[in-house]
Amino acid sequence: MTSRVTTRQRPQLKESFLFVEEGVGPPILLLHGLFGTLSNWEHTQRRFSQHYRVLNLQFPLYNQQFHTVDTLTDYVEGFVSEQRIPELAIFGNSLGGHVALNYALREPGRVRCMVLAGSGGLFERGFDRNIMIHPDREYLRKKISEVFYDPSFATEEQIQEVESVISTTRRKLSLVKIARSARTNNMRDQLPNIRCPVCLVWGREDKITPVAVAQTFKEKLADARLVYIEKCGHAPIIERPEEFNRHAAEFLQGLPY
Amino acid sequence: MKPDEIRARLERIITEGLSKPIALGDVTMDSRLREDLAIDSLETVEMLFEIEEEFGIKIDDTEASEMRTVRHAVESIGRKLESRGLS
Repeated sequence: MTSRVTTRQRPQLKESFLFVEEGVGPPILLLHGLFGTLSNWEHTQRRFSQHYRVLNLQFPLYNQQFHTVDTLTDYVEGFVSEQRIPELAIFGNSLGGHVALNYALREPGRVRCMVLAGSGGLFERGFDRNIMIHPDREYLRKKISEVFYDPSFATEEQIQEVESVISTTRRKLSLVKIARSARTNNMRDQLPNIRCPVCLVWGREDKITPVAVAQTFKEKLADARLVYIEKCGHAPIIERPEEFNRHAAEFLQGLPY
Repeated sequence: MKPDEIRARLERIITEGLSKPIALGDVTMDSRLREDLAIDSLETVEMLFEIEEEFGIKIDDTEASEMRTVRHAVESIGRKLESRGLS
């Protein structure tokens, strides 16, 4: 099965949607994290496109129009509306989880269920101390290593990818503004209003959103289950994609979706 | 660029450019960024990037750590501009 990368203009915002679409069936929207790209979901996209219509959306992280959780949610809202999707499942990692939760509050009738890994929305560590404004490679390697349980995932390729992401002050400023918004936009009090089933898939060794965060999500959300992946950090979709996919598939089959 | 202009542009960044609201009346040359204006580490980074964009300069991490008051920031920006022949 082949996938296609598409950009389409959103008339009101003059903003193109960059996304990959693969497969046929009930729709699943994939939302990546703050430093993320479409490739983060590579394994999940391939796995679920066998039975679902998978839409892997790239956030416009460097567009000043979308520097907050709310405006990124606007972006998702515009995308889902343009795609004319009446009902969908959303998978979100980190910032993508935060935006998914925010979207579910806005469109409760449209979000059938969510699978969240290392989701933002309550507490995130990482941008709170010892921030270098012009980071060297060693600093980047250390910060990227913190995302994973296994530090060997902080590869040269990953470091180069982040270096290109933060290649200009404008880009770095964009990321900082989004991180600020994510920290300000705490969803603790709103979580009970999210009624759809949620599967929380958490790395047991997550240093960015520690397991206590996952437990709070489970307590506050109306209908949530929590599963852990051992020896895994903040990005199960990259570090342990087979296990993430297995938990997500079991969850969807159990609904059923 | 004269210190007064640097100060005015810096005040605009602090009061309008950051994600959190800070009242202009709260900003003086002796305001301490962290203690008086409650600008935390992430907001400091945001402010520094805004300064780099606004003045077209690059602030290294050592200089950034020495900007503890509005006056420090104005003087540091002034030195940067001067060294580039932009003062």
